[in-house]
Amino acid sequence: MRRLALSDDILLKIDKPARYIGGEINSCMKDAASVDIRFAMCFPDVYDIGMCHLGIQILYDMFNSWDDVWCERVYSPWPDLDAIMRRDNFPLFALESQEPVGNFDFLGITLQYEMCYTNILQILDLAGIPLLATERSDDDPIIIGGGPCSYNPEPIADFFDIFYIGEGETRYRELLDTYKECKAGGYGRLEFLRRACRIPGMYVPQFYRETYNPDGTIKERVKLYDEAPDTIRKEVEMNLSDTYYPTKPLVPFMQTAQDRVTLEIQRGCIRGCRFCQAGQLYRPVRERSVEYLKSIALEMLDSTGLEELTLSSLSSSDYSGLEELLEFLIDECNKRHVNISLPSLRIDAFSLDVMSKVQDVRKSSLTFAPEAGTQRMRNIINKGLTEEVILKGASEAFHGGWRRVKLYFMLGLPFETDEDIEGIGELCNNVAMTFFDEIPKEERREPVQIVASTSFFIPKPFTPLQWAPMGTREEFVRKAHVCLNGIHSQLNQKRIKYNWHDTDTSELEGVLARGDRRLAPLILEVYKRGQIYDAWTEYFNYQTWLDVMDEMGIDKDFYTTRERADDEIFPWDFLDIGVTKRFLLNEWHNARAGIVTPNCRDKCSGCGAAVFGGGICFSER
Amino acid sequence: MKLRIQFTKHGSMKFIGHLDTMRYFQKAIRRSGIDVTYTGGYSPHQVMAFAHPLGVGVESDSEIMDIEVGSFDLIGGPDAGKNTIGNERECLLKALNDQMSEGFTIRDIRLLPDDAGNAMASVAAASYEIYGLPADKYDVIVDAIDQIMSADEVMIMKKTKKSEQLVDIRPGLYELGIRDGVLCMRVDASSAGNIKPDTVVKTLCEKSNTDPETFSYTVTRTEIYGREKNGELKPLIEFGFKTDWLT
Ligand code: SF4
Repeated sequence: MRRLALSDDILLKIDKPARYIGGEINSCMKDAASVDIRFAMCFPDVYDIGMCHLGIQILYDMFNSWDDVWCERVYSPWPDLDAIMRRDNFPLFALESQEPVGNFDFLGITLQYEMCYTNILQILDLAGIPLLATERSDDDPIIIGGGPCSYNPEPIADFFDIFYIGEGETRYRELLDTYKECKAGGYGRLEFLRRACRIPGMYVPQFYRETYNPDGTIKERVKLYDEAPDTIRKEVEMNLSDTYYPTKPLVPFMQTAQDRVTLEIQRGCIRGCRFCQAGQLYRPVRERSVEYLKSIALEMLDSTGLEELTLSSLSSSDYSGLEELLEFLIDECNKRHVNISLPSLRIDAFSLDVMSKVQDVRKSSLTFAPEAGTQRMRNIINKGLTEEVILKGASEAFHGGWRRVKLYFMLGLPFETDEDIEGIGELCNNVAMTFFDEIPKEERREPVQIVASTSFFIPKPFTPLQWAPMGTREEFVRKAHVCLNGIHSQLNQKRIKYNWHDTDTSELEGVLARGDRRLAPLILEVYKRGQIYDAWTEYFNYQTWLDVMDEMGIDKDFYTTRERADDEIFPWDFLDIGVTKRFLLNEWHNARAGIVTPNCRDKCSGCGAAVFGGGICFSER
Repeated sequence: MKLRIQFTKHGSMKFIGHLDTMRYFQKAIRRSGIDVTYTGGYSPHQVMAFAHPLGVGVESDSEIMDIEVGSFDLIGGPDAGKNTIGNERECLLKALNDQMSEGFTIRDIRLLPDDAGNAMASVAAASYEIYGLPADKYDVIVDAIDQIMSADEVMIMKKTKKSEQLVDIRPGLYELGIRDGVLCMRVDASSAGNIKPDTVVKTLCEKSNTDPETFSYTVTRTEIYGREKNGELKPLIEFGFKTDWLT
């Protein structure tokens, strides 16, 4: 029997002990003595959230397919266990071997959202690893970050040895081989990092320094090691139909956020919505072949026994083989009594038909994401969804029996006026009107329900709106009320429910998203004052953040509400995602002028992502 | 057709709660290819019933779950189509055991007669072993056991969410004794009179002046029983047939 790191006494005292025992179906056990590299892969949030993350499962599967590597998993201990571990000086352990992470060769941390930054420090601290990269010794693991937030790694640069920029499938083998060479040659940490930074995609932050202008903006980046590259281009896997995919995904013992088989059908998005970071970061669009998807879907269902399958992509409706794939999946899933969930489908006759086959129409709701209330505003953000299309989709849906509609919007977009916000209420009302106009009275027993949700726009690096100012908390609250009043003034206001997102979290996310290296001491100090789990409202304490910013003389408005000049150097400019800054700036100007840019399938706009030599950029139109 | 499955739950699997254990078996059954029956509707689920929920932290040598199957064939999974006539039980046993994680073992699968009662309602008693009693207290605990078993009634305060109530647990204490330093008991486990092993330990502590805070113990369930028509207790698994599934 595997021995557990934690005693029965502790496990029976804490909430959900199954988070810490490992041993799940399809988890990988190896003989520690037979491998050269021990890799701990971490999602810095609680097990229930991190466990189902596809990116980690892909890398876990890839690493463990190599005989010389044993990859294990680690998640943030929940605050109840965190307190016990600190009290008893109990070292953080990996789930598979239950051995201390501090003894591993690598600790990889995925960076999915800014609000997990204090949890990164929790992980390092509990593992007994010095929090600052420059204070680590040859005995400490190499700390490597990856994932969406590594596209502006600067606020957390001090805590990492390496950031892997881009998709993990391509360069890890090279990195690990370099590590093995250094180990065999007796070279220390510094020499390894020097060699690592010459591998494409690897960013070693301690080899660079920023200098600043009197106004606080960046003056220049200075290299501290000559051989370090000036820019680092993201890594992309160009053939997604012949690469690593976890066909035997882990099956947790306890319920997690998503207990389902995830089928990633493509990466990237053709649409180019101007607020969307993922839409730029993952260009160009690359599809997996239908044949490949069919075969891995069945393998995953067989190897897990999970009762639900979901498609994953930024915009599933744009996948060219969707009809064929769905026909196959619906058939196979029916045979196996497996449910299919279909997020991110555009509402049209085809998708309604498909959805009516896989869900109980009356109980499920339809989702539209117009993102803004008026066409003027939607043109600014390049969201190619018109009111006409929404109402047509809603009408077909009502005829098909649906009664619940969810609509997602953003507040605080650049160039927004109160009329644009009030447009949200009007659009919702028009959806309700469509119901009353089109559905005869006798079929209206179950009334239409509309839920409008707004989140606050947060400008993100590598988007056309990275130059834009973000609203203040006070403005957000005011705008939410404008929106609410707009809804209340509508004829069908009783049928419309309105939710809005927390303003404090949005503001902090805004600070961290476009932050620079001067924020690392802030994150460190907030952590030292006991703050973890900022992504969880019950543990988030914005006042601590504000207090420390105050004490350190950090002006949050510098990061959030300030409009950037066209030629400002951004903290993330040294990263190259293929899409050029020139293209993004042009898009920013187009936004201001309300000019719409076509999607990649209709017409190439020459964004720069064609440098990767494949995907949609080279397909026939 | 209804199958009764007997399994163990040992080691770290004791931290998996009852509902999660059910979900674990639903997935294991899917992987095994057993031809389980599903309910209809948009989110179909397997026709499955557990005899008696096991608390988190308790291990078990003998858990019971019933499932309904359409046939004895393996309609999927690694052994699909491999099961042979006359060997159905062994094939299903192997197919399901191959899907177990460390700590779960399928001990037996039996075919239930058509008139068998449902698993949960059939439960009459369960036996438990308690490990970790303080050795220096054996003598007083043995005395306390004698005292309890020779008494006509043993009243304890039973707390529910709403009220407190004095109940007599003596009628539900079928066997109680110490064997090789292990406290063994067989107690009522029916829905009307279920006695928790912790309650028995607590009562013993009170009667023997032992402070329950001075030692920690672990609990293993060793058997779940039903009642035969003549009133005798019989392990639930034995209500099913081992052989002659096709006749
Ligand atoms: S180069 Fe053209 S087709 Fe390729 S991602 Fe950019 S805009 Fe789209």
